[in-house]
Amino acid sequence: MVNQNVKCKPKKTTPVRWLALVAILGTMAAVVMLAEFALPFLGPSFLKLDLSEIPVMIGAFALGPLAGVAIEAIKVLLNLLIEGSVTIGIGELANFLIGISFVLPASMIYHYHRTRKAALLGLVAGVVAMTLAGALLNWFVLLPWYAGMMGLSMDELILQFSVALPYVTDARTGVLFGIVPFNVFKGLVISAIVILIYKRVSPLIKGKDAECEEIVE
Amino acid sequence: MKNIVIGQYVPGKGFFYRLDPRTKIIAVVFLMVAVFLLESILQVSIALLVTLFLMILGRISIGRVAKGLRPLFVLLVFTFSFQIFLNREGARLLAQPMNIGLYSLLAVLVITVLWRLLARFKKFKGALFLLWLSGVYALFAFLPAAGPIYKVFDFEIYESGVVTSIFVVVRLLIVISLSTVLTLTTKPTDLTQGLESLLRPLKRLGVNSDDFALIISISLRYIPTILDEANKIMLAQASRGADFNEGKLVEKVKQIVSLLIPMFIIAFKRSEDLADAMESRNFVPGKPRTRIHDLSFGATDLVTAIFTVIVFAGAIVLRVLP
Repeated sequence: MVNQNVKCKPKKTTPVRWLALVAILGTMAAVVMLAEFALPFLGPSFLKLDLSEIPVMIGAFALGPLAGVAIEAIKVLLNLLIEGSVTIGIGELANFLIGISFVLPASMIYHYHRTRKAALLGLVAGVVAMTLAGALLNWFVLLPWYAGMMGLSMDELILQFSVALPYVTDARTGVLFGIVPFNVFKGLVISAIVILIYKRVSPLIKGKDAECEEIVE
Repeated sequence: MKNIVIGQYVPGKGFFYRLDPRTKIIAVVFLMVAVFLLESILQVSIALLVTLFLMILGRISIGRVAKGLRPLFVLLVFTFSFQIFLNREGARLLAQPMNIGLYSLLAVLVITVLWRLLARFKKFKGALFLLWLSGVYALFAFLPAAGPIYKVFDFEIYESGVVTSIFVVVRLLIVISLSTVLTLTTKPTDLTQGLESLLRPLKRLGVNSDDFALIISISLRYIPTILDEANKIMLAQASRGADFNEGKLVEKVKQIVSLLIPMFIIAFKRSEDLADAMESRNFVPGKPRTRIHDLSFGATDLVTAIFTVIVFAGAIVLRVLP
């Protein structure tokens, strides 16, 4: 498919094109988010594997970290507008923060070193950052919130984990064994898919057939 | 798929529809916080009655709001059983001796199999689950203790468990009803416009709420389009033998990739067309824009604002007073 004799200059991303791309990628992320599927074997029902980070990551790789944050924000806001919030927006805010903690490190590293190795390194850094952010937010914000919502204490909520995971005895081990593996798994699945997809779709963002000229040898 | 409804908006009349989206957003947020400040079952019950009264006054169909509660069914059941089984405070309301024996275990197995067979009728999922639950209870409690018995225990329910679970469920009901009323009576585009207006102070931090609202509006308009395309691609891949529900993780990932690549390509083409259309109409991002409908703060909004302030202040007073 790829013609070796064609040299392509990337088309300049004008503000309008940037805006349209961010909007459509945000839409895609929201649509993917609506189709999220739960992992029954991995813990409580409020942990869901959603693949909506993929369009965000593709956009962040192609257009830069700022676009990543914008797409993430659109995704979360669209979801809020469509489905409403059960948590006065706390769940949505956490979702946004965990999302950008994944997207920002990865896209920053790739932004400055545009190599495959840097992309992989960035994704690994993203998974680490997301796991960390997920653990902290769950421990200090989300789990106490859910517990309060259900009229339980933190420890009683943690008991829910212990049905599936025998190592879980208190909040600390709950986060360690219940939430950290989930985020690592989610991050790795998303990273794998992004690596598989990015090189095939990124030429389109940069305008493949826009300004290509044949090199006459 | 073309005329898919995005969000839960249902056209109608009534004062909720006449409210400025800004008023509605702020009022819902403050009322939710107020509900979370309430501490006794009497207070939340009154709050629920007021919510129901307002919904009837605003001519909102309660059935539609109840539909919004469906995804929370599992959470509600979970909370309820958790409270009832684990809470051991207050007076004992019920003590039912139960025996787990060979016959009762077999009988439970039979009704569980029956329940799973009937679970295909998704419409009655909730009712079937409750039926199964009461069946298990009845079998353990009332089946004559014949045959080998493994364990005899008392099934106990305490006052505090019942009170807390009702309190939690009622509070959840109010919160969900509030947010459902908001999305039911406000078009997503109006919500966006309201948010834009509320986020305008962020301009000092360098966030341009105008552009952001425009992006959100574009996104809302394109959700049906993208859903439609996703559906087409799924059908196309299914006709080539892809199965999206079966297979191990690696196969699932492969199938997702086969869905996502065409989706991205279509999405980029769409955004290209959109950008061309905008550029050819001389759209410049960041410049002030005009609208057909301006938001206006009317008398109904004032009444709503006063109501919200009173409720919020009342909740704080109730919380602070001993």
